[in-house]
Amino acid sequence: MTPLMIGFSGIAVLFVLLALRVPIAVALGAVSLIGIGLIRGVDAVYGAARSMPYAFVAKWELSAIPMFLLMGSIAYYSGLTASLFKTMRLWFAWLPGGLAVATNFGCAGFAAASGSSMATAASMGRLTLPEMERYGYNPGLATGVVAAAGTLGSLIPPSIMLIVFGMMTETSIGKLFIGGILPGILTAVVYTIMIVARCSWNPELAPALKERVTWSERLWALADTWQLPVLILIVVVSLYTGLATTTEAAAVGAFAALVMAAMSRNLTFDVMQKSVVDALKSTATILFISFGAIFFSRFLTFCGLPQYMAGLAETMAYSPLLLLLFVGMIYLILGMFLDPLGLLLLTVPIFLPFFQAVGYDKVWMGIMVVKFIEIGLITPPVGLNAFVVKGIVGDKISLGTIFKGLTWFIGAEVVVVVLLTLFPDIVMVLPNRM
Amino acid sequence: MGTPVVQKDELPGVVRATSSLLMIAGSVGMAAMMLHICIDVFSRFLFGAHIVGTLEYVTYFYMVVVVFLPLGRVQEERGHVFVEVISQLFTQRANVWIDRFAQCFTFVYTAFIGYWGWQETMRSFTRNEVVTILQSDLPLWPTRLLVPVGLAAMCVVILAQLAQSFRSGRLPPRETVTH
Amino acid sequence: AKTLTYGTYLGARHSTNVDSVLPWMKAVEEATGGSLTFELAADGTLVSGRDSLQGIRDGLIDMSTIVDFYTPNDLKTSTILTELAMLGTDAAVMTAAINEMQVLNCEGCVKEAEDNNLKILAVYASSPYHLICNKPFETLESFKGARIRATGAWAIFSQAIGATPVNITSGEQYEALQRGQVDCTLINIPALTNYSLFEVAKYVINLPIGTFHGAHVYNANTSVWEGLTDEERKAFIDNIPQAMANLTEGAIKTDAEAVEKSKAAGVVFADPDPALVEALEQFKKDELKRAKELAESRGLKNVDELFAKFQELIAKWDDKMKEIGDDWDAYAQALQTEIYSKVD
Ligand code: NA
Ligand code: NA
Repeated sequence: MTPLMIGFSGIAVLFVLLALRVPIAVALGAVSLIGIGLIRGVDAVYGAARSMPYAFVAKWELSAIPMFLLMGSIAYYSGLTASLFKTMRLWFAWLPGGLAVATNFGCAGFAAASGSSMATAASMGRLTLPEMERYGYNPGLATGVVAAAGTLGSLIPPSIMLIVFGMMTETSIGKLFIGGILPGILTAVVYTIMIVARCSWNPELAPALKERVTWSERLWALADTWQLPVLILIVVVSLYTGLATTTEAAAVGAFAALVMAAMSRNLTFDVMQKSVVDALKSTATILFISFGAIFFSRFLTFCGLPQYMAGLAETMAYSPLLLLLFVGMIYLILGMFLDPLGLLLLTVPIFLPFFQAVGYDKVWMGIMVVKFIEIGLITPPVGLNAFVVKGIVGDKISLGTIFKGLTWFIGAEVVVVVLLTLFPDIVMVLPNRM
Repeated sequence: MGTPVVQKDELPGVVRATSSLLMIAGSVGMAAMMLHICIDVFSRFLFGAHIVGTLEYVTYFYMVVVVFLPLGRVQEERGHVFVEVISQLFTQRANVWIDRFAQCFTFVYTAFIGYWGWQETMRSFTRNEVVTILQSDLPLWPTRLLVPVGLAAMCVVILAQLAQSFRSGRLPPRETVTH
Repeated sequence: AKTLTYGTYLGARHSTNVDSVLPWMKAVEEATGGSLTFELAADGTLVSGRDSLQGIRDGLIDMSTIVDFYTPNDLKTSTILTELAMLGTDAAVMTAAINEMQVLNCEGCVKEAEDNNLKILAVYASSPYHLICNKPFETLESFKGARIRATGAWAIFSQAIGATPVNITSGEQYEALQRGQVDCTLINIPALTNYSLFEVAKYVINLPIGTFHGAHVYNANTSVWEGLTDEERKAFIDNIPQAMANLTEGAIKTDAEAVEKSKAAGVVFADPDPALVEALEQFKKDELKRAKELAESRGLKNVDELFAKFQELIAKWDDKMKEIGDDWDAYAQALQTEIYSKVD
């Protein structure tokens, strides 16, 4: 068998293992190690694998991952998420599909405290899904908005995906963070328009809430959510005054979240413990997958798959738009099966030279790549955010219903991607001002 | 939802105690990491001085602690992300066997990575691998040791889960863990 | 035909690979009439920086770019010579000197390498480091309390002039300079363009402060080396002088381009305060003492002899480079006659 054939067989075996409930991390890693062994012999497996988990983890820049996860989980357990949703609800409930809109903006707000899409979907979903169920919202709409708006967690800073992208491509993580802000907001707005339009057209999707809200209630609620803007402000100020580097700012943010929880008297030992434990489990899970993904990308390198892909991409390298279309297609296909971080680690080294050849800015590329990968979180069959939501609703709503509800959001994503392509300034205007 | 699996309160006390212990160590590491970086940042800002070696400690110590020590607990809760889409196609009984296969498979992979991690620790120890911070050499083998420790804990949990799975034959639903 | 794998943590497009390693591979392939071919596994696909030596030792890869300071207890003598960073002011001089040292005049270097199944063939010296700052530091006193991003010997130097050394990764130095987490970074000139530092650091002090001469670029696993035919070994060695000349020429050219581009962007290259020059000279003397202590703490013997020989070779090549100037063919020729004609 030629290495390329081993590569394609490896991918096939990977899917079989995934179907047999083997964890993604293990399936990626095991297939790769066996594949490398077949191509280069047992010594190569040993050499490529034995030190890598340690060597990969022992990186200063990666320390932002546990720290931003900690910041997010402190924000959740100390009640910041709850007060955020309450406010969003008071402000947006009057709209058609008001609770869904509130959930959407709640996710966008929480994304500013959380570095991960799945954490954002999980945190907001636990609060908003029971609420939407109580008011008789269409299950597809309710679960769809949580899963889809959860992906804002990786676009709106802080973002683990952007940290890893920056590290891999030597792009300023600060610029990437700033670049994600407007596309994140744009996505939330496009979602909102879609939700409101759908719910006006078909009010049965989202029965109107029969409650009167006064402006003073709204303003008080808004005042009650002071923690989130203050938290964002602390992180931003610590960056711009030269107090902390982007990596250090993650630890400063976690500490600030802790202090604010203490100030609003929500900091108990229980809250602290739960926050740390959650952040730890997520850190371990995410990075355990990443070794597997790195093994997999080494395996594909040995197979010559990057060169093969490069051959395909080369024919399009002269037309930026065609290249983008090609890359988008690849992400759509791979995104059906792979997890986000694995996909990132796998594809960026392959695509980076082509994007640079056609002269795309690395910041713009980073945002587009993360956008593409985030879409993969809501596409079947492997849509991790849909799984998160499924985990929250249990047996009440089927995975099929969730994915069906998500088709509308995937449609909205297409609109966003087209807008970002036509107007790259949406991404670049803020970083260029830095 | 989906296929029932062994839950963490069915595992032997000693297994759970081990992963709890590692989890506590990990929690202390996580908190210390945050404080260490913050103290470094603030002392640099306020006094122009800083804690020598923060970058090295975070890189070679805290990061390894927070990634590897929780692996046993994550496995206890079946928190490693897997795909549960086509399990609906099979009978409950088939799913239980599929799950056992997946567990065995995971065990073999984890055991290999863990064993290599142990060999790396020994190599680091015998060759006296260090990182130099200004004028002092810090040995790296203790932090390399965290790799096999975390992965061994995960292996032990898998074995306990498999034993329980064969003993009971019937398995309660999985707890949802998200990240 | 035999295929040798060169595993490196550097990217495939890194100047070390483009200017030197790839052309060298081609030259050897031609010289051996294709009996030897090479494969470059770049970007850390096979080995990370920390694992390079181990990769050679285990035979996973046949050749590699090895940075010695990752394994100071494996390549003890080499690492201690690297620790003497402050002795260097010029890439060409230091490249020649460190090679003559390690290849011909350092039993310890050769022995320690062999213990790791490594046959040393060539080591590379960077262009000199400079203070790149976001404000003018016109006097030596002004460095008191300043924060300087520096590692290794440069961190010790920063302390010696009253500044605080801060360890920030190279990827973070742009933002750190921009926002004032640090006032200066100690690195070589190409960082001005490679990391776009010229946008945020407008002051460079025209004072070369040490070179990094601890990157082994040409080498081989010992059993692979022994397995080569005499002609193949000859092709290996004969092409190294030109490869090192290419590498050094490339480094010096990159330096000049970075200076030009930075000046055009308004970066000021200011002459140093004589007191700073004085402080550096004094520091260099103290460095020998410090490096000796470090060497002895790692169990090295005859350190004085070692350092004396290295200084002698630096002086020798300093003189030679005055004749050679920027004639890179002559440089390659000199490396050939002085060093590589004596290697077997
Ligand atoms: Na975020
Ligand atoms: Na998907």
